[in-house]
Amino acid sequence: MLIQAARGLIPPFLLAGTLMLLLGRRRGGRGEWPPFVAGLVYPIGLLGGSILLQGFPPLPPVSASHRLALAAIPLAFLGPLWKDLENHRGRAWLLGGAAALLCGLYPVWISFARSPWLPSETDPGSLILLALPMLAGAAASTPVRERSKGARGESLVLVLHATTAAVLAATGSMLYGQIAGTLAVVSTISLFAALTNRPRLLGASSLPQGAILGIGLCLAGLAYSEVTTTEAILLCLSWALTPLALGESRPLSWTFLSAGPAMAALVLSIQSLLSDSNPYGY
Amino acid sequence: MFRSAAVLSALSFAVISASGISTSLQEPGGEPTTKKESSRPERYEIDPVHSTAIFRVGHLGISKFYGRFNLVKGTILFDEKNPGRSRAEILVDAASLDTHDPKRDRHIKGPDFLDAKQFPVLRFVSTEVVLARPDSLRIRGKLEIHGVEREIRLDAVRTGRGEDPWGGYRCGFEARFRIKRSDFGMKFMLGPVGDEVDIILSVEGIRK
Repeated sequence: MLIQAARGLIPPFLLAGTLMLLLGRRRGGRGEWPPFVAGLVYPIGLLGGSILLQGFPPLPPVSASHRLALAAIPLAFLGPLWKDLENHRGRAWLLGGAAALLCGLYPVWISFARSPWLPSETDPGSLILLALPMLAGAAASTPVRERSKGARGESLVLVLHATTAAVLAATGSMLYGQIAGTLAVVSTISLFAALTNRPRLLGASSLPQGAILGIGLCLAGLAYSEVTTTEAILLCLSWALTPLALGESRPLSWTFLSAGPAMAALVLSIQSLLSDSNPYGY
Repeated sequence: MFRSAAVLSALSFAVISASGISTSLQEPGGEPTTKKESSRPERYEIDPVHSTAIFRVGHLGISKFYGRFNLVKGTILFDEKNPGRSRAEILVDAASLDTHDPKRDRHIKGPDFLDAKQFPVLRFVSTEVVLARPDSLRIRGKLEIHGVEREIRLDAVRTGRGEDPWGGYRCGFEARFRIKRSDFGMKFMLGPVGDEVDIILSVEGIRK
């Protein structure tokens, strides 16, 4: 089991770490990488781990985990979009309107598309998958303007990815847990960069991308593994609250408020695991 | 002589969803037939109660453990006189997996292995049937597991045929073959859990 876990975690660690070192040598000091460059970090780490775990994703993808790994690539464009909208006065309304429009049209669109690239219309997470990140993003307008100079943001994202990984592994799918673990590894490298004064791999603009991938894994676990509805809601709630906890002006208590639901989900999943007659395996 | 067999069935795997699996196998037809080929394949619906798919896989390199799928359905078109015209489609319900350990069943049916909620059916559809020996067929077909389709070849034998106590007519086939689960995208815990999976598919068809 440990070897299997290492196979999923070491490659993204090496890939993202190498990227960080190469880029860091050319750009000293603090700050963030351009949003699109930062946006490529998640796909590189996620695809690296996914390939080691499942092989190259088939095209078109055949499973939720394949779709999620491939979705990380176009999601890299969210960062630049975020950046462009940074100073837009009606940003929150704009994103909220886009989310509402997507929510309204999505079922109609997907029922006609029936594409293997998309979640099926029967996937309970398909609608929420689009709606939640957009809504979470709408709330994130402040943190982008108030970039944290500390490592609080990186720490929080790392905690959420790691907690998501632990919950998924404890609820029946080591595969989903390992995929979430690759995101945690990438976050660890970003935290390391922040703590050592290197340019941050994952800036505030990467938050929507990380939230979508984290929420997507939670919903995949809910639909196809044994993640309970309560655990999924708690995890998604944490991701939705994350933007509120970022930014210099936000009190530390907001960080704990954001991480709280995820911690509760972790406790529930561990409690469920330990209540089993043989919690260590079969 | 077997002939027939259309056997097949052998193998085909397909599965059945909770709402009931339906097969799409159509009787061959439309082509001009010679006198020799004037027979029509007989259609057999697989009896789930008397059909089983059993598998075995290595554990820790120490032993083999066995499991089975409790729901097998499908259709066999069996041409006694011209086995080459025989076809089969077999469906196996992934959720019917049973390894006599509920926790292990849940894990194998989960995303790490079969991912039964996303891929509820294992399906085999024959593409070529050749009579190798009397009552023995060599079958080529497409096996779909875990959303991945691979061409496989397998040998099947007709285990028997005859009237049943209720006035019907039945025919039985059994096929044994080996696959690599990694070929079907199931790469979790390769090593501790073996890659090669031996499968026995035994089906009983009721003539319609």
